[in-house]
Amino acid sequence: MTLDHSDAEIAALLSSLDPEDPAVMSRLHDRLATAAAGEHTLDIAYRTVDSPLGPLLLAATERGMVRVAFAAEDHDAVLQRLAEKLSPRILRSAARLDPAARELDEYFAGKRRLFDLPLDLSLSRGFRLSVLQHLPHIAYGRTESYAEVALATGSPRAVRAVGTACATNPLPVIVPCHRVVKSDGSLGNYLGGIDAKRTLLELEAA
Amino acid sequence: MTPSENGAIIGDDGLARPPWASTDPLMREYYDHEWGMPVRDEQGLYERISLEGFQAGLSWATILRKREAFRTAFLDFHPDSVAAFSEADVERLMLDPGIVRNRLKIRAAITNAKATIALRSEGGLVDFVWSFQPDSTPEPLTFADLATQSPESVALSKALRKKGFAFVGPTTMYALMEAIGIIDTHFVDSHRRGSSGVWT
Repeated sequence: MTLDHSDAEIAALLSSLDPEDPAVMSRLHDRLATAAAGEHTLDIAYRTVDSPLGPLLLAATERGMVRVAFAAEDHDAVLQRLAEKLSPRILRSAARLDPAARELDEYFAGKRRLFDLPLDLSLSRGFRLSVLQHLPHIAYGRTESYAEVALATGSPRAVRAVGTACATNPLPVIVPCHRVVKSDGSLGNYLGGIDAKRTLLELEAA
Repeated sequence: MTPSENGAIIGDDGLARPPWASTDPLMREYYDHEWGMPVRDEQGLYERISLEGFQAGLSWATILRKREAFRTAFLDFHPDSVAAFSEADVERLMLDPGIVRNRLKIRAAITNAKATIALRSEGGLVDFVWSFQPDSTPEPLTFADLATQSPESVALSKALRKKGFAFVGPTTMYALMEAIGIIDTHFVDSHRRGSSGVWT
């Protein structure tokens, strides 16, 4: 990595570098992350946020949000798979995920009904991709059955493949698979657990 | 060999297999080691789609017996190699007694190689086909529980046709989904049930 600006500043930072001091390490880390993003060497940025559903891992590429993961999915394992599938260049970067963190906060506080974030759906293919592309059309506070989603994606009877598509949604909460429920009105499954699905639907019903 | 209650046949090794895999050694070998095991590489999946296409209207045993000749004729089902086949290659293959000499099926194999290559720009054949995996697998107890199509195989068939594939009807695609582990249609009491690891 080369830095074409403020070498003096870096040198000053390094001269005072005390690896025992977390604040210094954190500043250095932020500085490297910013520099890397500026030179497009940082392919995936991530951070975690607290939520009523527990800690959420957020990850984004330069194209947009690529992954939201529940704690139950094991955040380290999720990052490992992102490294294998998309890019080994992964760095914690709070700044790049600030907009997403802010919108999620507003959503969980009941103050936001629509996410306005660029999405990168490159983890999903074929049928699963067409299901994910439909889900944002289900409005806040509404639900659709797995059968209705199947119909909307042009394969009216492929209800069980819709189930898999929802269960493998790489962007839960933001791409609202929690709004897909069973035809008999029961909730159906949810990657983040059935309680998480109920929490989200109750939040949106309020 | 003894028929069991659900219609499976108990072999001389004491293991239950469906009748289609119970007599022919080649079929038994295929059932014991390959059928239903996950295929997640492009070349392997292209081969299986091609072979299932050639099978249409024939027995699977016929295809298995010809498999090595098929591999030779189609250059190990390397998609980039097959995609380069010309009309002269079709005529050459029509004279090859080792394979199924059906002009439409041979052309379909070439068409499907090209379509496989085209799919690479949107993530590739493997993820495309696996994206039709249902959220649960059949649990057949007897022959009455076996299907020849499913909503997912109909959807997969339609989607592949849209991407330029040929000889990928819903029944053929159901057979493919069974054969490559997307669904597990082994009888619940078969020694091969769950062997794919996809549903455990």
